[in-house]
Amino acid sequence: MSATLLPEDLPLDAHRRTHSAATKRYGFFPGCVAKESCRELFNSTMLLAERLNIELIELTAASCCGASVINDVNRDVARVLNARTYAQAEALGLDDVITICSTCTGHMRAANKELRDSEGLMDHANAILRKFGAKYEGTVTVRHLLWLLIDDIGLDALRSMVVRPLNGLKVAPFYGCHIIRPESVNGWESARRPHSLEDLIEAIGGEPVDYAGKTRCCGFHIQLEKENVAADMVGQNMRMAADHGAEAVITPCPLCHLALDGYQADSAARWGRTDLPTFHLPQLVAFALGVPADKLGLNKHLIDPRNVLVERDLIA
Amino acid sequence: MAQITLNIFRFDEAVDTVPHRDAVTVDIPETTTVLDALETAKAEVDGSISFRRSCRSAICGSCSMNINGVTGLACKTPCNTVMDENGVVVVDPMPNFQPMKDLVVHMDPFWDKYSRLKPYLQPKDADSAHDRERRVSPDDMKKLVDVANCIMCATCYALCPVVSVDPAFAGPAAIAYAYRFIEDVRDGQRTERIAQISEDYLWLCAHCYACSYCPKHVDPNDRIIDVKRAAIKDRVMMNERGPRHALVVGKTIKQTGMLAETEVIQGTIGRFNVRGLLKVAPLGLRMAAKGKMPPPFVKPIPKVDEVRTIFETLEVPVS
Amino acid sequence: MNPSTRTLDQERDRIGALLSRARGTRAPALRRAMNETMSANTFIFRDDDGLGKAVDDMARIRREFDTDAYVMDKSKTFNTDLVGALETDFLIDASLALAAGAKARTESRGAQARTDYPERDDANWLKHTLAWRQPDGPPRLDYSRTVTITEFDPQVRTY
Repeated sequence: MSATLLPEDLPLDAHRRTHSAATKRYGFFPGCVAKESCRELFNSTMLLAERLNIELIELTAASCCGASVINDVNRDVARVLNARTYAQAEALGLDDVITICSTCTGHMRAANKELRDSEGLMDHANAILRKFGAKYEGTVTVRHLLWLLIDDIGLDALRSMVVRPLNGLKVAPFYGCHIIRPESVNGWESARRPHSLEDLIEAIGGEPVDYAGKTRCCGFHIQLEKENVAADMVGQNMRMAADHGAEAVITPCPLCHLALDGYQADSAARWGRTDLPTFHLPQLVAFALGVPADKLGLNKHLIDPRNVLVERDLIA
Repeated sequence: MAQITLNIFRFDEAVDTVPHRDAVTVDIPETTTVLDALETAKAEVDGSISFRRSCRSAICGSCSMNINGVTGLACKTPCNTVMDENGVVVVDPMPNFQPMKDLVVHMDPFWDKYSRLKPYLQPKDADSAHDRERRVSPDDMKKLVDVANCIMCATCYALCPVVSVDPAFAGPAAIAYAYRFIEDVRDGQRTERIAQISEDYLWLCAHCYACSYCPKHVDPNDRIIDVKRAAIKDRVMMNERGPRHALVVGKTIKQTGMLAETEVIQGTIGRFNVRGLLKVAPLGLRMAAKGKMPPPFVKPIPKVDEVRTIFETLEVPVS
Repeated sequence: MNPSTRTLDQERDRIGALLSRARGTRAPALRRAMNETMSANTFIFRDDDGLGKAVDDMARIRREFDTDAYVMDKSKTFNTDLVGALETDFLIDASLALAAGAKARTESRGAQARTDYPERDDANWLKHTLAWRQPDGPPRLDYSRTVTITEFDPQVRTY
């Protein structure tokens, strides 16, 4: 079994103290789903940023990261699309691009790693960027908001900002594959035994639930491939979470959110009912930091998260 | 020397209906591998503890098992990297396989999927007489070297969440090994091989990288993506969901700069595939009721022509 | 050509004895004893004293296996305790033949490097050792002078 990366082997990049972190002005790439079916994710992120006193500067001309699927048609296009995005960040004087989607994180970090590790690939990308006067110098780091919360803000500071602690709400973390694997691309924490979401849940007053499915795939990318596979990929994980006492789920990935929120109803036939509402990471953190619940788009979820909040006396 | 306790899954399919667990303590240096710990336990305490093993040096692939919830080779796992503060190591058989006896599982489905590949060279010029070797350039050989290191240990298969829910899925090892022949310039069955692996549900791979824990660094996930690209390049089974999905995602990104969810769903299923669309309609309606439907059309991003330049320069197929 | 009934019965008894004994000596313990004496006495450099000790030890281990060896695992499913014991049984035969043959061969040749007979002796020893298992004690040895020589002539190998 390959050993997990030791701390000194982690790519310096993942925990780098960026200029953005020092100035609290970050590049922000919301991704496509946060602008389409999961607008509540985008909105709660901006509200959370306000609370944290950080500026998220949206890269409005950035394209889709490729969503990992585009690698199936061409081996270069994702790298060049993301090089364009990083060039835009650099042009704005930013060295940090924050994402709110696990898939974007893994995919963009992989592209960035290829560009920075290989002069040939960087030159190849820049040759195309040159056609419209852009250039990527290799100075950008891509990080998920989760990492910003823990590295830049810090769990202690977050704890002190909590005005609405979760009253021991049992929350199951669901990481989303692409924010942890492969370790050679992400490497911010152990992919086999991550605990950042658990630490965060505790810091905002919840009780984290440990279960084997927390690092397993939600099946989003294969939902339409074959009948039942979407429901089964969700069911096999949510069954474990429910059996370990979870009342809700938190995830840093809107694609996982769509899968877990959308397919638990169908998974009941084979896996039994679970009905676990799935919070977006910024939603639940913003809630604990006092952002009014009605601004967080909780009413948009298919499995209504307001029920568990009422049960725990967190909202009326 | 340290006291290491192995908490072992015990089961004999011939006599048991349910498994039980045994805790066996041995006195060994804590850097001993889990395999050696098991051998010591078997030799000194309980001879009935059963597990597969051979080379004890990570080349035969026999000793894959679930150690502390994580599958890997027992011969490559020092006890002190996995034991808890009381020196306990939990050992179970590989998941995704039917247990036979203790840590030994029925491997047949794994071998079946492998043999369906016809995992041997079927040369282009099989019929013609050969008086010299078939030459392969170093560059062409380089593509095959990593995947040829596969030791068939089935760690990747055991870790695969898709195999867990759908035993018809070929699994990472088989698809990666298909790549080994698809890209072998001497082989004459490229199209047939791509068709065979596509039918064995190549496109069910969810890109989750669970198989990145291959103990031989074969990186099956990257090879699977290589096979998907080959399938699209060779236009194999283009009307199936997998290729349709990949192409329509590319298409919407090229047109708008964004992945347009609605169009991707329609394009994957087929605009006129009424049955297929009806299947996803209930979920769509529930989402619409909550205001969660993605918009039917997505406005192109600023400077979208730059995106189109990228797609055109790289000749990315979108249909 | 099928094995004779006698051979089949012998094998049945061999396996049956291991499975039916409720106590005794386990094969891993005998294998460890074999490892130790063979490593100490028939390793890179050999001499008459060491080889004599190896033959005596292996003959003793042979006897102990025959009378006492048993397996803890009585299962019919994937019984590696039994397979391991059978392997040990056969390794004991091979080791005993090796040790006896090495002791008798008063020369050095190839992997046999004897400190008491450092030279190669084609005149007396250009012959194959044949060994017959005996019911008690070391094997009976005989020799065949029919040595097939093809491309390389027998001679001392020097660097």
